[in-house]
Amino acid sequence: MAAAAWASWHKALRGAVGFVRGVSCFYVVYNYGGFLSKVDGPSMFPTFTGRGDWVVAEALPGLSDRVQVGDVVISTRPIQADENIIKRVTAVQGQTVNVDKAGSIAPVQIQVPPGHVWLQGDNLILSRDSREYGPVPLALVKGRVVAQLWPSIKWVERKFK
Amino acid sequence: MGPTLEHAKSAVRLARRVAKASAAALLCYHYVGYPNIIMGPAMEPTFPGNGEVLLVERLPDMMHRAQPGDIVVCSSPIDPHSTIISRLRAVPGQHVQKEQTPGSKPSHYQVPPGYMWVKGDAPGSCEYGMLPMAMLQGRVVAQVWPEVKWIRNSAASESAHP
Repeated sequence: MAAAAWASWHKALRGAVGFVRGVSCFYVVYNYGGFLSKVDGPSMFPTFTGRGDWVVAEALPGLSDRVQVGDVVISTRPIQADENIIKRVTAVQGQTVNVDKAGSIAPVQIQVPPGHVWLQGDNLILSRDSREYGPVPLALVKGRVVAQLWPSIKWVERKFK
Repeated sequence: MGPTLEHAKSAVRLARRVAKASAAALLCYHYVGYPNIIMGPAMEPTFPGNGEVLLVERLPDMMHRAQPGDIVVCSSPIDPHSTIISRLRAVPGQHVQKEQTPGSKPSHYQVPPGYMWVKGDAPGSCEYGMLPMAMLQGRVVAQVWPEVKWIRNSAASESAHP
């Protein structure tokens, strides 16, 4: 009687260990390799249609050091921590950005502080980005988009304005 | 030929074991907790900052569980590779009183949605100020070296007015 109970316990334990192993493997790939992401919203038109495009992003260690102007990145949204945004890096630390502020005649000059980047959507009219919430800390940047898989397969290029 | 194959097999077995253990350790580090060493005077007198070892918990739903008065570990806004240990002073909706320069009125800020206000315990310590709440990495629950003690929420935070 005791042997049968122990056997089923053991089986459950082995199943649990297998599950944890699978999750660890997925987690490592997701955080230290690459991941897929879906693009919803018009802020990156025409680069992405924003109607469920699928992109591949790399999340390799050292990503923050390799982010350059023109890269498309996926980041946590500063004003809403449970949402992600996909934008283009238009300025890195040390560079200056001119922003038109409502109610002022001249554009305001903002210097991107160390450890931050300036993000803007390609569709400037329909994008809420750094022009609204300021430079974004690099610690929030989770991945750099390298390719699109759907609706068409294409490399995502680094683009300057 | 035979012994070489055996060596290769046991090397592969070892590599697999190391990979599995590393993945499990990484998982624990990100989703359960880990020990952290604090250096620097920003959290005096709570921690002298001479290499005390703290236990940091990173269980899910950190952003809702972290309360003003908790000692938290956040990503550094200056260097994405490092972290800062500071005290959470205010969460969205709460007011923060900015340190006043002599001769000026004290100014109040309200913490906007999605942000938090952190400041070290040392008087005049570097104010990172308003950080996105997404930078929150963990909460300090105990010190394990040089002495073992629980770290509790300090009920009174000077700069937060609910």
